Amino acid sequence: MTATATPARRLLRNPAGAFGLALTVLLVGAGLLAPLAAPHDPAAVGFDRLYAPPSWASPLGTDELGRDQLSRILYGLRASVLIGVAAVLMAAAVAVPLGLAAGYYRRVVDPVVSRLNDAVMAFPFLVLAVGLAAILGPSPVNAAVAIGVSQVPNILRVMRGEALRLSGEQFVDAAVAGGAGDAAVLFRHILPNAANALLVQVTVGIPAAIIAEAMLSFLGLGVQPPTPSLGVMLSSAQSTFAQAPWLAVFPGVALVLLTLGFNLLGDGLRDALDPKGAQR
Amino acid sequence: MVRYLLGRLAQAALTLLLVSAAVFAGLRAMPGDPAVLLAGEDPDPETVAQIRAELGLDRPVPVQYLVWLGRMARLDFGESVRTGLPVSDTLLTRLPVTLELALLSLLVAAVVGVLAGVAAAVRQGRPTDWAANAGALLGLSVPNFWLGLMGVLLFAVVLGWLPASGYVPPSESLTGNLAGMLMPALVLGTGLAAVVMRQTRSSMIEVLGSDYIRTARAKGLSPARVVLVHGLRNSMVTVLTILGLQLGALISGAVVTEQIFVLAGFGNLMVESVFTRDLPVVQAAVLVTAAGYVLVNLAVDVCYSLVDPRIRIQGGRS
Amino acid sequence: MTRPEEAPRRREEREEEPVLRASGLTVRFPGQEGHGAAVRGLDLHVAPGEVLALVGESGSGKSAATMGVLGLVPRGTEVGGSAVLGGRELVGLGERGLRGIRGRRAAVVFQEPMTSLNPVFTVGWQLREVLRVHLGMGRAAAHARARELLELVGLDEAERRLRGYPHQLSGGQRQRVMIAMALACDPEVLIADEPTTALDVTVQAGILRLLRGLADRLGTAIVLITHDMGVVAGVADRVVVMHRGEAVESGEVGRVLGAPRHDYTRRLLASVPRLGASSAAGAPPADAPPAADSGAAAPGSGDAAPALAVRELSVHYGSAVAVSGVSLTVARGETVGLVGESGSGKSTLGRCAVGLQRPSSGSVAVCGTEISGLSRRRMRPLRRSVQMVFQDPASSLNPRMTVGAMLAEPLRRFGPARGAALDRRVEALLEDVRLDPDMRHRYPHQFSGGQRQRVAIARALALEPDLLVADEPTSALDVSVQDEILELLTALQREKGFGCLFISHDLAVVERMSSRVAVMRGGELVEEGPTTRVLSDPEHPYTRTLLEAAPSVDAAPRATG
Repeated sequence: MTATATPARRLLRNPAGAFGLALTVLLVGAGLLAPLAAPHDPAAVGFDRLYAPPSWASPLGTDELGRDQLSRILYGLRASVLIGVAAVLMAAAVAVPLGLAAGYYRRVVDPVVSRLNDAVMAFPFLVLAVGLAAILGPSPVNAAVAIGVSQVPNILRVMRGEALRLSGEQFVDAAVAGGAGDAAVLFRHILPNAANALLVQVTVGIPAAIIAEAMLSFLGLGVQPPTPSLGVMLSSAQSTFAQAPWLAVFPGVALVLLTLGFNLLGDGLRDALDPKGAQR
Repeated sequence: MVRYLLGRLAQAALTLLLVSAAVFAGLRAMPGDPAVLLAGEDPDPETVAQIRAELGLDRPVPVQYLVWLGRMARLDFGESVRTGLPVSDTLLTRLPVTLELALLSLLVAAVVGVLAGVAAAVRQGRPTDWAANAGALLGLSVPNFWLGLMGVLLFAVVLGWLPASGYVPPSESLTGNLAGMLMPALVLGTGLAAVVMRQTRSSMIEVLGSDYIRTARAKGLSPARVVLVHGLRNSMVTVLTILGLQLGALISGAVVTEQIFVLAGFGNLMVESVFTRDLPVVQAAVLVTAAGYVLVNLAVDVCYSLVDPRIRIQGGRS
Repeated sequence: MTRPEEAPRRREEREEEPVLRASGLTVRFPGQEGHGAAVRGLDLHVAPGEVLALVGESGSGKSAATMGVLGLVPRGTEVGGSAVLGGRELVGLGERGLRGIRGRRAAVVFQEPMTSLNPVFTVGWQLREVLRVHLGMGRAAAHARARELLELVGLDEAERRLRGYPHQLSGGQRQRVMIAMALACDPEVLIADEPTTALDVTVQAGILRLLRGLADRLGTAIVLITHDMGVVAGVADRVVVMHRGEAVESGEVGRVLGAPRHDYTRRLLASVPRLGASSAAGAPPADAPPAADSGAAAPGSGDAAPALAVRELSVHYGSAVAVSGVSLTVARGETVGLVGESGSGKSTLGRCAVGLQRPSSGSVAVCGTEISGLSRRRMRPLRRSVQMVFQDPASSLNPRMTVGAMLAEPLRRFGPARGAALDRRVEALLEDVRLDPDMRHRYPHQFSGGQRQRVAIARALALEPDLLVADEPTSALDVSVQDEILELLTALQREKGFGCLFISHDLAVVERMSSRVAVMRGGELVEEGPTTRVLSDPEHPYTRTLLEAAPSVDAAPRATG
């Protein structure tokens, strides 16, 4: 029997997973540290340098108001990460208890939760965001709520499935036979065993939420200009395609790298946490 | 089979009811009293009361809901605040554009996704698999609206091969229609293809490792027959499910894609209406998409029972 | 399981002309180097109408040998030596060539009938497919042949079965369909890879009879791969015993089973649980005490309420009846064996006894306290008096908890012990089940199957229950480990004096463990009584069927002798 490596070590040993982790840490870090890392004030307007192509002073060029694009991208990453992570964590806070309860109390809770879940899924996140914006007006918070709500069904489905699977395991029967109450069974025996699946689902949910945020901001339903956001930047770049293509390229590249990092990390985690991989 | 379908139908009806209640509740939750708003500036209480009676707002909320639901069920969505035209007429002119976009993207996603997924599963761990996985990862990570922008930049602005925007009805020019739709459909189909590919791959890998595939090989069947007849049919259930569930992403994607390629579709209408605060249109659009989602997934469930005899005969999924 | 009289005679004339002959066969899976090959230099041959048993434990190479020859092995597997089928060399033939052999001249029946048929095609479609692909038959001809095949393997209502799907058939019926499919093109060799391991004993007997009959009637050569010496005895003509990739012994079945020459064969034979062994061949030390204890104390003494008293118990799932009107008592200190095949309701009864399953009607009393109608909350304080050991130790331990935490959990719930006192209790429990107390910091995956079952027993005994329900506690374990666990249970019962409801499908195991036996079938209790009486002189015809179907290594010497 060979020694079994820990999941963390297996993740780092997988080149794609390690690269994903590095990319995620780098871009999330750059975003969170944007106030320190940005070379310029993202709001500083300069009419002497409108649409400046990349140069030493502004490595990624400047926009229609002469603002430094690199600095705006860093702040944009910050907004993307914060909204994306907040939306997914909100979703998890709702979906985890509901999903566990639905999978465990199959007769009473499951039918109710499952129908509600179906109803939520019937609203694509953009439609939900459109509805919220129509009622409450467009704002980053409303965008985050819409994204969060649309992430609930995915996490809920995974947690319900895990609770359903685990409640059929004999160790749950053994715990019940040993006098464990419902709370002990759910939180001590089922949740820890469902934690891996939750972690993976959250890790793949975040890039989806980040893309969703960018999409909403692009449409004008999320972060509002002049606050820097990757979606807003791409939206305004649309009209100046021909003269300043770098304004459409770089924010998109930043977005792709950020989501790619999370997706690679998610895949790496999935493999590293797979019990079948543990024996290898 | 009949019991299974009736059960699904009842579930779908219940979901639709919940959806409509949510939309109704959302409209009621809007700040401000509609009667006061309609009465204009400095209204006297009598006028407000009269308007309220006209709108039925003096009746109990459940009754208001039922009356509203009745109107929605008859597709009577009222008139657009902006254009004054009946909302249902507007929807009917916009829907074909979005449906064409959605179906073409779905076609792209299904063909590319299933083929790549099967190829990757059959050649698991080899270059084909590696390439398909890398492609899927990119497809998932590249937001489709940015892909659209880059597509326009490259093919329309730089190379000038394809039109950057605009919708040509197929009745006018079929080639013009397809030329205009090619890029939007590819852009929208890419992300979906990535999801379909991954799902197909993992379900095919599972199926190919199953005992009945070993039986099929032991029967002396050709590899193509083993994979395509015995394997694919079994993973179709998962692939169908994922296509149904991805409809939400498809609709969301269609909204931005229409925005980028300036297609006067349904999504375009929704976004416009939000900014012009054209509530009757928003309400109708939200209801129609939600209903469409529920009905398509009902259709997927019916398809299941055609693909999988265990559902057809026993009337349930494990 | 008697064979036609002429079998021995015909066998001799066949032996001159083997239809399949392997010599120096080697199979090396990808990643196996040096002497680690799965099969090393195997010689075997089988003649038309002959049944050759290839016997060995898992990993002995018995499946690898035959699957390697047919190319049904992972990519990159090296197959060397020679295997000639009807004059044609199979080794080195390549995938395309082998495809014409598989299903046409050499057909395979696998272990798992439940999953070996494609769920989305009809039985008829799957049978016709072989005929169309290999023989180019038209639809009508293929249909007629498919029908004939189903009749050949003893399935009634062939026409209806052809239109049906696999999930509408039982395991035994599916295995018959698999055999029909294998026979479709009249193959020269039929390879049956553990064809009955997943089936109940009575069903197993039917399938083995069918295989033997096919060899005799159609003259098909059959290679029967099995780990079960009992199966061998009933059907095979000759045996090849494999151990670690090599054949260690081969010969006539009567000779190998009656007078094994190789040490490994002898060990294999000795580890088979034998029905009647405890009474006939001098009871093993572990067996006598509980029987004596309970015989003296349990039925006679009426001072305390029995550990378990079940009256008129019924359990329904919707319209399906799992248990119907069963009454049963287990006295303190006594072991009652509960025997039945899958679907007999024996496990449901066990779950009712520990309060994991609510009965539809009837009563369940543990030490005189009625538990059947209790809510989960009201049941909780009573949990300590009745505990359960589950079948699969891999699934009955929480993979995220250390063994120590797992044992401490019920102790903390029901007892005052904390801190060092609790630690000492946990250590004592591990010592009770003969495990090193230092192992309490380990997680379940760091234990072997047998060790895990010891942990599960320790957990069950932590609360010092009056009743222990053991649901097939050894059927997921290897034969030698099974022996140790049974021994441990017997010893612990002697020390602690709990009553035990021992659920098993294996009559030999039940005979060894219990003083009384109850036999269930289709949810009903068909027979109950002292073990020796029930097994030697069964009253109910079903018990008799079970006894007759039980595979036994002694069958062959009896049949030939």
